[in-house]
Amino acid sequence: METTTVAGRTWNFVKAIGRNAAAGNGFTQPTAVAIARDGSMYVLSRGQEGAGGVVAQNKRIGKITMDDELIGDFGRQEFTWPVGLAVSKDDKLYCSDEYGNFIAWYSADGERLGQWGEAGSKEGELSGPSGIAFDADDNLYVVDSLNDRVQKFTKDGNFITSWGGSGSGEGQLDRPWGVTVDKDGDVYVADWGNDRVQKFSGDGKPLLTFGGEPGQGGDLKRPSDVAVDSEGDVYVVDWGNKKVQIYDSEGNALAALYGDATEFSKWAKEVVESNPDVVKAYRRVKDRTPLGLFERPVGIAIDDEDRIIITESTRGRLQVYAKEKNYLEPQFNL
Amino acid sequence: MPNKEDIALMSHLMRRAGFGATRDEVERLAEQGYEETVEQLINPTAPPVDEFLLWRYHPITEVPGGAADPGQANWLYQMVNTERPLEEKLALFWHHVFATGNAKVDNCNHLLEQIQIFRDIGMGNYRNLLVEIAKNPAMIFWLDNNENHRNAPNENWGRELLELFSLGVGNYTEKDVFECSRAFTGWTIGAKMPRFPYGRFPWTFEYRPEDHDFTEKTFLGHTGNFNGEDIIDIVVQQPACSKFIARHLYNFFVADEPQVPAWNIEEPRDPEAVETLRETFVSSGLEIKPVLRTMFNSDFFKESTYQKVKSPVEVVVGTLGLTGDLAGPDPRLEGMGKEPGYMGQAILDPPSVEGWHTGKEWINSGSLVKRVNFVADRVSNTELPGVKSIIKRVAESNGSAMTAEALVDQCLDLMGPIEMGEHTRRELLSHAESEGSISWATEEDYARSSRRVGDMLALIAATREYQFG
Repeated sequence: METTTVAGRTWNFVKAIGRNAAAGNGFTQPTAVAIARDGSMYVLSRGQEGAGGVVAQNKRIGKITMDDELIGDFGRQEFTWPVGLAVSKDDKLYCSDEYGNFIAWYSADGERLGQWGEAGSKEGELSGPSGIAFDADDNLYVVDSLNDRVQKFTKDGNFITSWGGSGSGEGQLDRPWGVTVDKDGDVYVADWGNDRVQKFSGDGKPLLTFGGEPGQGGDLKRPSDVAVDSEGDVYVVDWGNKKVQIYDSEGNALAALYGDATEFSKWAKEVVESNPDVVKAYRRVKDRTPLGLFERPVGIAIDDEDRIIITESTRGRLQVYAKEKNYLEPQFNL
Repeated sequence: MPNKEDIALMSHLMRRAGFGATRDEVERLAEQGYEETVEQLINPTAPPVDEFLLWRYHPITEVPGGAADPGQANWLYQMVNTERPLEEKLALFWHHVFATGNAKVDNCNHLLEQIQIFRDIGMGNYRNLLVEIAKNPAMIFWLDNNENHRNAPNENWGRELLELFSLGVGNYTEKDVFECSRAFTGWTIGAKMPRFPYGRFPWTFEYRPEDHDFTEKTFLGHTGNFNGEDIIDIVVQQPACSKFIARHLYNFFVADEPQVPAWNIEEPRDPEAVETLRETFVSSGLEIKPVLRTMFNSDFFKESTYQKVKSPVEVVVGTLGLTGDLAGPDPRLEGMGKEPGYMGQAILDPPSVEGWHTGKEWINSGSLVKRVNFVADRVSNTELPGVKSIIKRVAESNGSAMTAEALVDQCLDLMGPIEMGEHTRRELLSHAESEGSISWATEEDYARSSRRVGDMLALIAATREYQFG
């Protein structure tokens, strides 16, 4: 089991989940993950359009457990460009569609309950809604990407406030993507086009920037998503550089995860072992390191046990890490 | 303001050295000057297309694997959105020459890698390009060089290197093919992780000395213990090679030639022009850029307006650019990537290593209908930004009212300018006259006249003349 240790913390690689598959126990370009109230996970397969228009057969939301159980999937042919997921306090799943300019919501067992959203650039209107995240009061922050702003709504879609604006200055945004809210109610936005993450107060006051200064460690290239663990460490999916960059709460770069899934996930193993030719082909490979590396990580979520779950769109899988706190490095040469 | 001839010439240059340009852009470039524009085309400073933007909205296009659609969509997106048009057009040229197809390769990741090689070094040294292509995993698999072993040579790559990539039929013997193939034994692809269960992992070029034939070879009159690069060095020094490449460039950029397999029996339509290109190619040490400069600045190029049948890619990309359709990520992209294929030119999937038959062979009853419908559907869509811009120019060209003749002439001018045969022009005029006078005076008039412009553009798209570029 691979570990990355720094500053009294260590991150242990736990496992991979899933495989590339258009149906069944796998994912198709998984771009977002969210944790349900019972600890199970929703995984969004962005899928592809295909020739001849929007086919959307492989666009779906899968529900799985950490123990590799596929509970089911839903939402097929209900989206054009699904992108963000969030779970409300009453255990409803919300999903954004950045082409349809709406937010849809579902019951925990996948029944579609409704949608809201109007296309446009006026207050409360949406243009390319991407990342979404709930705060402790069940208000929904929506990254209104093509309007370069963040909008805050009630979970029913009533507008509360917004901030941002196009540009690269403090508080401005350039095609932002993912978003998260920490336990203090502060909002972190993956400012994709500006190669940084910005931290705001819940009402939009800029507080801190992550990765904005090149050459100081922890440089970012087109970050797609962000999450915060129970101790305030910040995890940024560095989509362009294919890694997850970890910062402390002050914005100091701590470590980076590059992917460690050199062992097959349970579902992947089933596929490999069912095909003797594939087994032989793997035997010919001299170096399996690339098997484990992140290949276009996109979405991230952290559960109550500080397990970090990362989606990889190219590999169709999740990689899971666990944070070990108060870790003391052995003081001897092993 | 540039005059009508300058506009026509600049439009011609941009159609051939790129995929066409809007009238606003043509005017700006004509103002800047012809030779300076040629220099800008061959030394582009604009940034490449932002692939991150494409991949964010269309993740499958980054790694399409064996599916042709997303691979084709990737390249189409780049052709439509590039600000380095000649670089992209030249990539299409080399794709014609080094035709490599997904039908066999089943791996668009590496076909796109090959296209990137064309972008990166396609304007550079031809010898270096040949070496890179010889090491390109997609090409190695396409022409079976991974099956070319010391004790069991496979001649596929060796033959096509000589026949289709450098010399042409009639300029080598069967013995040369065999010796050439022996020199490339051991040039193969390293074992990669299989596509199951996590998608494609990259192929890499691998040279295996234990599988290389180190014995003496005699090739095109030279004898020695040749390896692949030695063969390429001998090939590029052949007079037939420089003539072959010069004729390819002429055929693609200047005027339609007979199909490649006929080149050893049919002389070029303009031997002097091909010789001019050949001389530049040789004297520059096999650099492509000086040949492009010589060609675009030559009289024979400037006088070659509408001497070529547009390829399907030119039809599709040119129309999307003219109308402003598909400018950026769009759910229709993957479907659009297949459009050239419906007209007979499936990019990344040529029918064989010989590439596509061009010129008049682009046209048959099926492909013609597809071409006309594709263009007509778009130019008649008065909501598209490029069509709106054309309408605005027509509306502002002649006060608040215009004759049917002025409408036809304006539309022909802005679609090319196209010189229409008299019979066809009369037909267009007759249609325009049948719908009465044209006014732009009120909002209602503007809307009605806009639709008439769209209809006229669609009619022009259906003419014989519009099939030439």
